[in-house]
Amino acid sequence: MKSLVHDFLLETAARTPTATALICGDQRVSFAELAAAAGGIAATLQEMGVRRGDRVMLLLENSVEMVAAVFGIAMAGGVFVPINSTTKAAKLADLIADCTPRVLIAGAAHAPVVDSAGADVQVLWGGGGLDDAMAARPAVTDPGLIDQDLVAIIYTSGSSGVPKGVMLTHRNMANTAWAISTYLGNRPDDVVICMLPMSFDYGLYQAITGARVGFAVVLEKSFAFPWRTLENMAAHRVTGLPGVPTIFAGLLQLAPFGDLDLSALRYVTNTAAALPPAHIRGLREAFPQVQIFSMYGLTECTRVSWLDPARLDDKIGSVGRAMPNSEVYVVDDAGRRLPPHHVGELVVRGANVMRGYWHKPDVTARRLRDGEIEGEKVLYTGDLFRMDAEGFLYFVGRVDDIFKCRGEKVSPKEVEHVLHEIPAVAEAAIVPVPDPVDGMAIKAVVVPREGAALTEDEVRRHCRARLESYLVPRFVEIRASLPRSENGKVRKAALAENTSN
Amino acid sequence: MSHYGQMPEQCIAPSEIKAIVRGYIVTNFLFGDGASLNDSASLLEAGALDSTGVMEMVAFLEDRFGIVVKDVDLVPENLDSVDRIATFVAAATTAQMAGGTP
Repeated sequence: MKSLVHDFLLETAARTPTATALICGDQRVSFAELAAAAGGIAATLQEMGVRRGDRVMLLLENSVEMVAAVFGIAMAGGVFVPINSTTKAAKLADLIADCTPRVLIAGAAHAPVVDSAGADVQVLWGGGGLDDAMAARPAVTDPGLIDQDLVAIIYTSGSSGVPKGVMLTHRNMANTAWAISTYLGNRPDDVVICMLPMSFDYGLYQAITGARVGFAVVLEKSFAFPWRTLENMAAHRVTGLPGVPTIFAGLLQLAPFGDLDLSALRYVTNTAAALPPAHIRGLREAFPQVQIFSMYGLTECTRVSWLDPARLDDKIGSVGRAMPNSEVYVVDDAGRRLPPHHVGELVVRGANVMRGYWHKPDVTARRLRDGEIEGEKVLYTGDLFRMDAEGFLYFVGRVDDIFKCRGEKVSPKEVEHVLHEIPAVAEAAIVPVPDPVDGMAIKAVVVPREGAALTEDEVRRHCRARLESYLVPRFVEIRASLPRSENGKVRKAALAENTSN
Repeated sequence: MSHYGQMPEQCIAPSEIKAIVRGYIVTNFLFGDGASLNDSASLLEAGALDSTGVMEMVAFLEDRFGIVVKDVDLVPENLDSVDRIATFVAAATTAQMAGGTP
């Protein structure tokens, strides 16, 4: 059976054309309208030269345009590359150089960033050519795809500090959308609110599963105005709330929500970082009827596991078992399966596992290794886990120094590189600091050059100019030197201490 | 909940509120480069603020102008442009000086 991601949208548009696909601010778009807009984008991209396998980069906020573009690029035969909408010019230039997109689709507000990136790429602008494309109705040429073709490249942080493009095929994405919507029990009458950026696979999949099942997605541009988010949840009778601990912390601060009627809410999902027990209690008090799904995943295979809400109380701290049509196990350093309760690296096998990292065969070879079946590649996650006798997974830590802030991966090296660009900085280290809202907040410790003056504000301003907003350090400490071990390594554990909110 | 780092100033002019708000955003979120900041433009769409930035700014407004920003006030109509923030702060300071409860 051939599974192409855009067929989800086309089939749903044929089945329930007038059903609501997207609600975004005052806009309400049906599946038929969304499919037509995607077709217009597809035809326009083909006119601009996009052919099977060509990359098309997306620098857009959550919007109708963003969802239509995702499906339009796939229909054209292209590979969509959604990047964080707070990406700054230098990184944008690096990403464009890495995946050489045929077209960049960008929101009008991003013009200054795109201009200063100075990349030689055709741009389809939001509010301009993109609107024309969505209204256009020329025929799309069948690109002749099979489901082993790439549909997306999603960038993720690597321990080296250089972002890696995770290649996903139509087959990967179709399988994962089926698996997720199956265990969540999604129905056409669901209404799911999405405030997660669609550059993050967790956000992206709300639109993909919505198109597959035929439910409506309420798109929020951000989580900056939580009260507005709650009002929208009540107004649209939202049944599904996907979030990360940072979002739940923000919402629960506003409980008990005054007169807002949120009784339609059926489920809440959490991933990216474990849901603290206080949040679980808070969610249960605020939404007594709600099912809480604790999940775990990584961009390289999207989703790994989910915990049946019925087991939340007897499997405290677990992120559940392997999702449908995948298998997970824990291995020792030699790649041998470990018995229950032993800590080792988690390995994932299944149709969800990526094709590899774009143009990075060496890094791919470290992550995708031979499995037990000859010729099969399995994913070494870099995450340390233990598994109980029933197959329930418990996160232990990372094999490298990557950590998660607000649900997004942070590579200390990437931020340290940026700190070293400040002329007055001699040395810099990034450490995670436990934080009730961010999960792990980012702390920068910098040592000024001799005789150079440096303030915390200067450091923060430089980071804001260069990094996506979630990578900007919350804490900055200026010190005369960094503590080092006998062999000269920076003792990061010592730096994380003594940081208070 | 509220902390009056500075008491509400008598009769602070709307234009002055706007200058203070603009100065804060330019210094803290735009690295001193305010040339491109349009007072009526969405700060979120311009990429000047994200969710953490909004919370930092609200803390600043409460502290600087001695106002209390309620949960229900955390909406883009009040906070998503320099003009909107200035209007919101002006109304809040006036209400408080008139003896209104926060």
